[in-house]
Amino acid sequence: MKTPGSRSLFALTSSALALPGIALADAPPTESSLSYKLSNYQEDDLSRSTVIFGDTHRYDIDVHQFQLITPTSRNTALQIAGNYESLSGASPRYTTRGLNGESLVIMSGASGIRDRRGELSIGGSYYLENGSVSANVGYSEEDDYRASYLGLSGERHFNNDLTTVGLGFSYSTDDLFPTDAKLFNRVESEDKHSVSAVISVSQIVNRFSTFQSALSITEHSGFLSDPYKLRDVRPDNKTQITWSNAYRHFFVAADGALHANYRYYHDDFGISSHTIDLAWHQNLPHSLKLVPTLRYYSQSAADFFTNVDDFLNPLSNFQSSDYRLSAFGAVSGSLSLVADLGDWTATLTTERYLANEKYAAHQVRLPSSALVQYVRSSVGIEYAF
Amino acid sequence: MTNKTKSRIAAALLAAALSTTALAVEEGEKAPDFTLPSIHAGQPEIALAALAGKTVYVDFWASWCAPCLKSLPLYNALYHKYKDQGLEIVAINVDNPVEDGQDFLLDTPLDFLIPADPDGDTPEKFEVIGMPTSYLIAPDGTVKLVHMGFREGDIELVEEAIVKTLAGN
Amino acid sequence: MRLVRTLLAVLICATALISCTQVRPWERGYLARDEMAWQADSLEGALNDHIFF
Repeated sequence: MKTPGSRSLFALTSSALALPGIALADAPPTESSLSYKLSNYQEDDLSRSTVIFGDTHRYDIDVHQFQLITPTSRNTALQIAGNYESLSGASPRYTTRGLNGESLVIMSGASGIRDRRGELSIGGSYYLENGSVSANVGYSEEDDYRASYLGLSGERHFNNDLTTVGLGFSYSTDDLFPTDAKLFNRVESEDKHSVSAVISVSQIVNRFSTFQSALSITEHSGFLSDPYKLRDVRPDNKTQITWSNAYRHFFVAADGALHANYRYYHDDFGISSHTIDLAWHQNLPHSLKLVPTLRYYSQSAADFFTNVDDFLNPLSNFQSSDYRLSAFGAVSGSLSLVADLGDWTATLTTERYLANEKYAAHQVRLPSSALVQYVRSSVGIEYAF
Repeated sequence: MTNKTKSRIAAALLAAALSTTALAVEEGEKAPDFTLPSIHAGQPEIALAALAGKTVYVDFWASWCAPCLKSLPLYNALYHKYKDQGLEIVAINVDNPVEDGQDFLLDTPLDFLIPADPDGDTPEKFEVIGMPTSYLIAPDGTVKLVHMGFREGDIELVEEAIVKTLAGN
Repeated sequence: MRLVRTLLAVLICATALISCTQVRPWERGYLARDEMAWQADSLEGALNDHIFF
């Protein structure tokens, strides 16, 4: 799972890209749509040989998502989205070196963490003759965290609507007040801010395919460390860039569509990553659709990542053993079944994710022992009215 | 940014600017003639010239165009309201394959003329720049209204124009 | 900053290279299909944005 407060870019891209298809832009959607999805995300237990103290159970998260999109006039549409999640489980608190030099993990507490998170975002779009502008605001809250964000974006069509250029900005501000701060000598109250900008170009290639490329830059500043880890010191600012590419191709003979995405990420913590994901949308008889997907991910480690915490390192030196900053690769696959039942659409999805230093696209010098494996299942329903 | 990149971008933007000012069939011009088969098998051909003397509302639609599908039942109601006053609606289907258009019509009965043009020659002739686009043609063959898209409130706009044209304006 | 400029140039070039054929408005039936959207299931996309980093 991502660190909390990493939503500023999402706030922006999802509103711009949730438009109803590239062929019929410049008008609000013709119908309203209400959707709900229930998911369960469950991380595999760590092995007893890796965890020398604490619960081997990792995160078990239930997520409820809902979204309403509705045209509100000839030229405007409204989008309201929310989610609620409840989390239980333990997470690594620190690492130490074992007798054979391997990295061993000490988990947080005997009974783990319990947390709930709620988020709400509201956005609107205004459609003009050759494009649209959108704005959205959002707020999220959990037991130890509060975040607010706002986003502004616009897109314009050129070249007989064959080319679309989009521009977006977002800002988010987060406040963190770790639980049991005094008890465990944690920071009591910290904050951070993020500013993000994205430019995208979408192009209709031919009757069967489209292509999109987007470049974004985000600047984070403030408290970026993980307050629940015994020793986690990160710089107080981070600059990251993302280059995303998407290709869509419809195969008439097969009656299916191919989705191919490639994303490159780089930040000044030293992390660079590549993501390739493929999906095949196969239309089947009886208004069913089967969607298998495959994803490959590889990241390099942050400059200050260590897989064994060094408590003798002065506090002024950056250091973290958070597995999310380590070098690793991950392979995941999912399968979805979509049923079109007239005004209702139902979707069932199951996904398996495996992270391993052996899957990385390069040699890993310091593998984390706390890499995640998980299973995720979802059931979704959508009503068009 | 290299000079080569700069000139490439300039060329692309110039081409974009030029292509958006395409010569579309405009209000006041004569509508291009067309002769197309009906989408319904066994029904006679539909020619615009054969409808001379009537007020003709030509609409380009496809089964994949959501605003088009919203407009068609509303046009059906308009057709029934004004056909005795000389209104003719010609909704040209541009689905390719044409079966997609035929499948839609199985569920939604429409009583006006529906030609099929899967090759897209007629929208090309009318220089259609967005889906849907409709053209209100007076009895003398001049285009009185070119309407792009179909949004809330558009049916009233179209009805108003039809009433005006039927009254001889 | 130099990296950003290079990537922006690559982005524009990549798109300029690919943009070739004229696809008329009435020829965009396949592109309008649900499965051809950038994000076919927006809640799934939002969930993935939340999980992956």
